[in-house]
Amino acid sequence: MMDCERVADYFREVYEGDSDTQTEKKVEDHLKSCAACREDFKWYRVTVHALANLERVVPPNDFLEQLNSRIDKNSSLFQFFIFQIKNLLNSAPAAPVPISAMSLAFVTVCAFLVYSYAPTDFSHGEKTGLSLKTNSQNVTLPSGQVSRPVDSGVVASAPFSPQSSTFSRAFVPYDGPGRSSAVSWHFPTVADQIGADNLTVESPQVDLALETLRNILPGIHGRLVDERFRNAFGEALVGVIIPSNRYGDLTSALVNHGAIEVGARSLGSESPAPTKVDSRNVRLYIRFTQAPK
Amino acid sequence: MTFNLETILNLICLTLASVSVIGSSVDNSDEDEELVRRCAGGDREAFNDLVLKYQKKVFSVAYRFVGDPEEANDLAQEIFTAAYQNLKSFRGDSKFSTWLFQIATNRGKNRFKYLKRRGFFMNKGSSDTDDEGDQFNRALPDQTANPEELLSGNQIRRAVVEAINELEPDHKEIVILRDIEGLSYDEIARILNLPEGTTKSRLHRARMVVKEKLKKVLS
Repeated sequence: MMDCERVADYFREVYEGDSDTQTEKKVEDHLKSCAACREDFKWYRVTVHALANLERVVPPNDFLEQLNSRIDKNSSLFQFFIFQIKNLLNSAPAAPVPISAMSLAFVTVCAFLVYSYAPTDFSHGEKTGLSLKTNSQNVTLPSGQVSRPVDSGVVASAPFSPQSSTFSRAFVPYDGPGRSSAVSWHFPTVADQIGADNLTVESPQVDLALETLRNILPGIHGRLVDERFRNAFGEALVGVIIPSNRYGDLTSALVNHGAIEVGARSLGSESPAPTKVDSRNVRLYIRFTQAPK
Repeated sequence: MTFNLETILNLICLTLASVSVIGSSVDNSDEDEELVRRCAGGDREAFNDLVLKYQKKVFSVAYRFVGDPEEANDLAQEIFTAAYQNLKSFRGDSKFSTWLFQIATNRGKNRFKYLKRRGFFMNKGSSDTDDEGDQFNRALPDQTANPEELLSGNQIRRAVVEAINELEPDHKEIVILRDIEGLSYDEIARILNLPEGTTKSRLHRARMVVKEKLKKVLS
């Protein structure tokens, strides 16, 4: 004996005489004994019958004339072009959505490329009054430090500042040089991803470490842009601009040239400026401190 | 085994009908082939003949997809225009009627989706109800009505139309082709490019959906 659910699966076959004798017999037996399925089958028959007996419709008498005039209209080149567009949209009504999305993606990619390859130069910023010195400000840093492994394998520690916290976002506000608006937006760079920020380098010989830095900067297409102070404890603070994708090389080189630790030190009470990042370069301050002997 | 006269006559009639159907189908196919060939060569009259031959069926399919005479007229013209412009690409792998119905179902389905997204059927349904609400309410059957007795009423027709408009496009096209236009499973399978088994099971599911909607509305 079939169950009710299975019987319903055979409604079409039984109704259209498309089932084998055995199945038909089983379904008939079930229908005889099950009032609910019998009723259901009755509704099935009614449905098919009603569908087949919907009122007939006929085209208007001038259908052919209308059609010919439409075809003639479409035969001109311009109309043909419009028709093809309409055709495309009608044959694929969902097309406007992907077309819009693709257009948006295209514009975004173009904007990104233009921005990425636009010349950026911090020295220009200095000329226009956007130099490090004029931007300098005392930033009171929270005590929290964020450590991330960088691609060189050295653990760099970046003080957690409002700017560094923006690295986790998709876009980073940047008041870069040569740009009139106070805040512009750019896509995350390598520097964003590695969390580049001001560094502390602990070295037994600060002078040597500084010299090392001066030597390695040309090799990574970077340059020294600021040297802030040397205090009684032998600490030095220098500002550098390096390509954002060479951050890992810088930290590796510092370690290889005698710095015993990169990062992991508080910057103290004074910080010259938060890290500046644009699409290609990163400007950061490096504090050299004397390692305990 | 005994045959009475009525049985023998029935058999003869059936045989003659089959022969005539097969014969007319072959003639139709040949006739279409010739018209298509002439049409592809730029003979507009041949195209007009094809239009006159298929306009009722195409218009009917279009009407079932959109449920509105004006929209159906526009859709049917769009279908024939598309056929006219693409006739040169028709390679004759299938019958012309199958090819034309392919265009009709594709365009119909897409127009249906387009209109449905814009709430065309919702608005239409409500306006119909507003216009004919009282009549519709008066015509509602009582709870004990036998479903087969309902067939005579207008309300079931309206309920069926509404149920079709609420179907998924894939279900709707198959219901239109099979139950409303009465095409064979073989032809539907060719038009929709589906295996025949899939065609049958999809039709069954579509009918069950319509059935449930009818039951809900009418009982």
